[in-house]
Amino acid sequence: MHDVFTTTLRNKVWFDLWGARQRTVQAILTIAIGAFAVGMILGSLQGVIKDTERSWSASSAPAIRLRVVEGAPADLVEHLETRPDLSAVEGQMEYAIKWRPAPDTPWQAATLVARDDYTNQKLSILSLESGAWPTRREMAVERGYPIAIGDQVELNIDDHVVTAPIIGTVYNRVTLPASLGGTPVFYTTRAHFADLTGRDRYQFLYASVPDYTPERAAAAAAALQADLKDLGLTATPASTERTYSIDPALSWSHDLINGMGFVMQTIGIVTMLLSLLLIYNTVNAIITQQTAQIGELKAIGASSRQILAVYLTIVATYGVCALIISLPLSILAANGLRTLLVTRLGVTPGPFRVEFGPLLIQAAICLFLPVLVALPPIFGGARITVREAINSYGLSGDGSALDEFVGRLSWLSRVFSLAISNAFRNWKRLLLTQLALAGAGVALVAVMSTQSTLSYASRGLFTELYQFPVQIDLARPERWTQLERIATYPGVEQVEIWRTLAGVVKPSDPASTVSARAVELNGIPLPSAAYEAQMVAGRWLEPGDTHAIVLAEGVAAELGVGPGDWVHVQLPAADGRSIWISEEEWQVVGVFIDPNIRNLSRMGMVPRDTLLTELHDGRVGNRVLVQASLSDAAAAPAFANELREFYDDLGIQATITQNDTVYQRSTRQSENLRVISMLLMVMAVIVAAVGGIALSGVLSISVLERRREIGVLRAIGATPRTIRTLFMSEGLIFGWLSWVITLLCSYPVAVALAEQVAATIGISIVFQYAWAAIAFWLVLASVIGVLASIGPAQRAIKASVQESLAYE
Amino acid sequence: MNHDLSSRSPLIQVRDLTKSYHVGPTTVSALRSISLQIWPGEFVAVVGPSGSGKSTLLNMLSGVDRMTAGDVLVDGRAVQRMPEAELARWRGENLGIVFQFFQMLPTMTLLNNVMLPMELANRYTRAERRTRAAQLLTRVGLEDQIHKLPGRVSGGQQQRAAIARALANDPPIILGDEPTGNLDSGSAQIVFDLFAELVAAGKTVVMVTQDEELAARMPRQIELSEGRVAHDQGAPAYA
Repeated sequence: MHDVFTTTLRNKVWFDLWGARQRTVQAILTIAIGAFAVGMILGSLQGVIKDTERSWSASSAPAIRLRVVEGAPADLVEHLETRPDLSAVEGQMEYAIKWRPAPDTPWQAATLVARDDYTNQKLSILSLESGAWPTRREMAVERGYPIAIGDQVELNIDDHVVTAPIIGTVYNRVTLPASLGGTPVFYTTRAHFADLTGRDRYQFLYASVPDYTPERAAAAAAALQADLKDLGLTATPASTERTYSIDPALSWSHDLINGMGFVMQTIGIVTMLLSLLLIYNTVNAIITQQTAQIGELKAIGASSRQILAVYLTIVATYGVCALIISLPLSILAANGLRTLLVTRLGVTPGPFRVEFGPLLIQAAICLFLPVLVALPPIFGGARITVREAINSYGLSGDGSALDEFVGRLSWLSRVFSLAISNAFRNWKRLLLTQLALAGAGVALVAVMSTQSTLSYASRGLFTELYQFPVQIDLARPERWTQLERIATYPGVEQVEIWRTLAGVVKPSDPASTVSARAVELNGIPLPSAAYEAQMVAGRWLEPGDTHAIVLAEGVAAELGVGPGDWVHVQLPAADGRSIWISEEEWQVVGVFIDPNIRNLSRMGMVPRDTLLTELHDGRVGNRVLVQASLSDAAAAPAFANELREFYDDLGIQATITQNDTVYQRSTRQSENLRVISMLLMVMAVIVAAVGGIALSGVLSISVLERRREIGVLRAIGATPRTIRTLFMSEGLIFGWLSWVITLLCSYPVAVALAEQVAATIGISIVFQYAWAAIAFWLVLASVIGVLASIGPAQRAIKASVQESLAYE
Repeated sequence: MNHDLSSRSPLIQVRDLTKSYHVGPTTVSALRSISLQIWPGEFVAVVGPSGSGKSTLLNMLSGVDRMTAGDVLVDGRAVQRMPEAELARWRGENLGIVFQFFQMLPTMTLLNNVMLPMELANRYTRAERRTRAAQLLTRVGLEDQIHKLPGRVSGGQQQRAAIARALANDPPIILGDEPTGNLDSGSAQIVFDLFAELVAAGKTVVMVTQDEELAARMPRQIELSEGRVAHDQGAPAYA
């Protein structure tokens, strides 16, 4: 390397870098785009993980989460804190209420929460975002909702309406944020809570265990449950997983973050591979172009080591420049993307920072990979003989059988046949280019298909599964005859009544080591008009079925059961106490698709009549599904409110939720998945950009390589327009070929990616191939093909014919 | 362009032609105020030592390079005043250029290489182009090689194919930039004879060569030295 800087060889290095600025810029940009993409993706992913972990750990999440049906008195909480198997205990009062911003607006679901002392919280810590903590009459509200400090909102607590002045906003890291479809939480003092609701007990108990292990937490939860039972109190699971104990390190968003992580890592790897190919193609093209010079250097006595040093210096310079360009940009972009994603997850983003791990990877991509991939072509070039170097003044290349074949197609224009021949002239480069280009196309289609599939899972699939748009859940089971009176309400076309409850299911096979899972069992009439199941395996429930159960795909996978297997189903008594009223063996007859995110829903479907018999319930139901003639889906929530009021008038208490309608559920699911969808779209843009750079790089270098050929064509009468047409045709051939390969290869890759993303998030999917992405790639590849070739061709045209003929 | 050998008006007129190149801070004068005339049907050798400006002069005549000063008129048209697209069309129709290193497009068969200038100039029908290209290749003795790629035939054969390509649009002027410079003596003789045949058929041929023996066999020799015309021997009597 020393030789390069101390001898006249440095002039050659300088000339190759500065004299061929266009080529230098092209090579630097090619390396920089790949390094930038990888740095941005990995930097933002690391940032998202750190921000969410930091936020979650600041909440001191509990390992045990219990709902005490009868409520726990305050002195009990103090007593529990003395238990040696618990390190901290926090009680929380909660009550389902309604709220509205102004008297003439509809009521919406909300939760009223009270803590003993907001300034001395131990677990599931709430942070004051702005304003002040609640006082005797004034409340605070969860951040992210359209409620500001100074607002006066109306709260409806058991039909008693009060006005609540808002004096603070609170950040609760443990609940679903507003951005993902959570419901507003109003915070008040214990005393005010008691005044408003008539209850002064804690409905939720949160506890942590010393030196958390899953076993220690489960044992403490069981002991606590038993002690509560001795006190006449019933504890039910309160975690989103419907378990008593849960790993405190796992946030509610861990599935989403896992999904994001998978998508980002996959795209990061794909981008890195594409970048490698791009760098190899570029460096290879430059070295190939200079083989004659390498031969000449050898002819005048340059050693292989000196030649190696010259070209490695050139390539290393490209890498250093690429690093200088890409590093600050990727740091900025990673911070931007991180902020976007964590905000979407309802987490406060951390300050601007630099993640050093991704930077090192980026530096390696810029500094080492180009040199590494340049070695084979440089060594290859160094082997050229002097005779070959001297003979290379004419137009190089031998032509191929394809050229002879194309030459015999007399109907083909000579210019177009020349474009075809040129496109396929260098098979090795064509292969590598198409690997990069079609790789980008396949990745783009796979990413967009995954996006379409997730979008369908949260929109179209809901509509297909739930045939009735409105679903009213009731506070307690009511008689069918009462519930069916809603059929008389104007607009209601059909009513179906379900009986639902949380049961516990485990495989009957005594050899199975799978633990029992809480499953939301839906007793449905057979046949059901309201639900159109999409089966993954086995069959749907049929009239005449008794102890037959159909499980959601995720639940079946967790339990390790499939059609034909038997499961042990425990049903709790209707009053919610953990006394099993039924413990029977049920046969799994099928597995169906459940589009809900796993930690929000674990569903099983059973015949309603058999379920009611097991529960000794009689003809009652607690879920009413309503078919109605609605102008549009968005009108459903208002209609659901009307139906709820109808039931209120009948003395039937319907719970207010944000999930009354298929529209709301699908919207909420969309909100949950939007962060993933958004990420997928960002990745699609990056992949498309890398693919675009790949094509433009190859075409630019191809044009540069053939400047002498352009000179000959112009010397024999080709006009500038002909030259442009020739290279644009060649660009289109490259682009279209990549499109054909994408069309042939993208489907299995897209299916695999969508399934993997869905499995990571925990949802079932019906794969949707993104035909739009195929069309988009055709347009993009064509546009890039034309744009990438026209610039360099134009520059070649501007040079005199003599310059082109003399170009080297 | 249709010219009688006895025509008294020159086909090519070069007036005070100057061409300078800038190499870093230095200006190199390749041609220094050259003036000359070439009449229809002439067979002209441009000779001189390396760097004397022979190829530069040829590049100015064909318009493949831009002059610094002066005029080049071909059949009365100022080459330097034509815009790029017009110049390309004019070149395709009026000039045939033969290069030292053949410059055949490597991915096209000899037949297609010869057909290409006709297609670029949009002359003849598709069938006529094919027939004419085959005839031209037959004329240069390559009737058995027409479907071969340039890389599959010898250098001499490539150069003969290049001459056929130069004749594709039946141009009145053929310019050769050391067309025998990269050939063995046998192939060089065949190529020279072809040029002589073209002159006999009424074409005007201007050939740059360093081969003094070959130049001596041409009726007129223009010798350049340091960018100037040192000698001009054998110009027609009516010049």
